[in-house]
Amino acid sequence: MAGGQRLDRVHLLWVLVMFESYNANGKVQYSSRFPHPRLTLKATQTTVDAGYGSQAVGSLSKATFSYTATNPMPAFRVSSGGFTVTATVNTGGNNWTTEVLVSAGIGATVTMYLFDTTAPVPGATGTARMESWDPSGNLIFALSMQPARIVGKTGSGSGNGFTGDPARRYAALMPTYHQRIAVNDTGNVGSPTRYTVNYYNTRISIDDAAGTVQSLQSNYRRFGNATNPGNSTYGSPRSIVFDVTNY
Amino acid sequence: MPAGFEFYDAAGNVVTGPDDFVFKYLGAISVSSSSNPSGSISDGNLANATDLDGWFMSTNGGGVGPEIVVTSSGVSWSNPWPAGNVWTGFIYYGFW
Repeated sequence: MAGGQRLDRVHLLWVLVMFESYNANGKVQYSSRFPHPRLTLKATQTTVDAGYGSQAVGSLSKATFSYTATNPMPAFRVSSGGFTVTATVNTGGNNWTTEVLVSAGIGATVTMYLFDTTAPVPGATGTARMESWDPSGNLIFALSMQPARIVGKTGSGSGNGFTGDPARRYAALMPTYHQRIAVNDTGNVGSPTRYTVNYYNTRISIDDAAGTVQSLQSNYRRFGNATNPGNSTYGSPRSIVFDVTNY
Repeated sequence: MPAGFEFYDAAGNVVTGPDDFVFKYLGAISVSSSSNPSGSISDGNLANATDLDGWFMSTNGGGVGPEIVVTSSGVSWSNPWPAGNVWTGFIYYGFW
């Protein structure tokens, strides 16, 4: 080595450095202990015929989004009418498909904001940077990321909505709610010949001018089931509201 | 404004400030109506929550799923469906 010195030993000192910020209520906001889902995809679809025919609730159309994600949190907003997420299905590996049913005719615009735990992209050398890794070496925060900002929830039924700021834009993730009621079309109770199935889901309506997100009820029917699938309810009719302003 | 962490996007917009809540992902639980139709896990990290939630993502496309309850100590699930309604997928959960 320079100056004739010899390096006999290298002492490595491992220090666990942890970055955390806190909200005003003292709860953790960002932490190198946890992955923070970030916006990985913003996609827009125009609705097409939902194939449900004439419904008592009026026109229905649908949009289908296919995407890749590790731990998906898909939030949606529509240009007009309420909407409900009727199905999210893994189609193999990290591939997913989500169907959104919109209470409007064909041609409504649906925008998906997909949040996922995929690692953010580090900033380039020479730019403003701040990054944080978890103890396993996974990058979990970078200034380039657009985090999943949650501003509230909507509850079940009318009047349990979210009121925010008209200057902000919101999208909603609908965790899980499903109610199914089978109606015997033959009029003969117990006859297995034909059933109509009524599905009830949470319907979300976002009003930008008012800055509100409302939770209503949506129902739609599918016809001609040969057997009675049974009546059931699971989940609760609610949504998680994201602030997607400037996203 | 309280003291806190704030950062901006390239256009100068605040991405998050000290009053903003962001989601922290804690895990995915593999569940199935056939192998583990009901169960629970404990996760002490949920005690950090201002609020929390969990949801089911299907891998079989059956249109049904488990009843999910998330509390400040863990996640539990059960099967509310009549026999013959098969569901398989993941419960994702976390807090903010």
